[in-house]
Amino acid sequence: MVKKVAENSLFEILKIITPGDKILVVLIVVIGIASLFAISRLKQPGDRVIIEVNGQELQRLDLESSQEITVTGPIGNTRIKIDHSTVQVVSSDCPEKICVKTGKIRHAGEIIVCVPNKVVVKIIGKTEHQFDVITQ
Amino acid sequence: MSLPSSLKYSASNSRLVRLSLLTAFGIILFLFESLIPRPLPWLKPGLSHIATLIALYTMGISDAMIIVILRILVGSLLVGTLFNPAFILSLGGGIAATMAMSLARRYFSKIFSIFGVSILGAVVHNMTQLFLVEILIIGRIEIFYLAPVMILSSLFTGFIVAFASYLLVEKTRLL
Repeated sequence: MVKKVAENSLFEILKIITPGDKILVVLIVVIGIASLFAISRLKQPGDRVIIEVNGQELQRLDLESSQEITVTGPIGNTRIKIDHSTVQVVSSDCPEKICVKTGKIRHAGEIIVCVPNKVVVKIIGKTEHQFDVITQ
Repeated sequence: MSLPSSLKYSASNSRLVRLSLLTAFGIILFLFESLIPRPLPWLKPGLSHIATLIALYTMGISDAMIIVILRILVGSLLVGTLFNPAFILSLGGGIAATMAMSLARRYFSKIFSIFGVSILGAVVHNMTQLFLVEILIIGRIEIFYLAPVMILSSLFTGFIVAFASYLLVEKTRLL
């Protein structure tokens, strides 16, 4: 019975959905795809790996190198591995392990964040200037 | 014969019961959601917004906001993220999404159905969280590289949440 209600309702949705809904969906798809292209054009090969803990830059390493680093944040250790021009967090003491699940990153601007342990691992490109802001 | 005094406040009692039930419903979905495995760690379906939407459509804007705030407070307490950064992200995203959905419901109810309102809420929720991560945690614009994935996934999650809310509001006579 529940299944039947759900099936009938799927057809009913077509009647409920307003033109405004459709415009909203199209708009969101267009914005999503446009930003996808905009971002993929911005991607450059990475050059350096920056490791920040608590908002402070701790280390700046070569992406081409092959090494493992352990940094300590507020709740424990985060192990970071650089190998084959990729960076990943291999283990962390944080509860949700989102940083570990993020996997490998390789492009300039890509970033791994461990929110609980306040660790940020990011890659910058060759051409990227080292200023935060330029005021004119 | 006059009514017993306990029935005098039945309107506000009914509101209290609905608030409690929808808050509890939202908390259960919040907990359930934190248990299911996710392909990408940031992508949550936002199932607890089913409770928000139901409140918005059957009770009103202020009650929906009360339910969201209570749900995030109690839910975070149970998951163990109360007052840490993840909690701020939940609270910010939840409040912003509820505000957006309330505005859409109140002023654009002729333009958007429950589906449009829900999708709008999902997009606002995700974007607010990205902004909060950018401001509070990273301070770098690169976090917005995640924006396309989040925007496009909001369509699906918003739709699922709206469909569930629609079934519960229209097809059951429970509310």
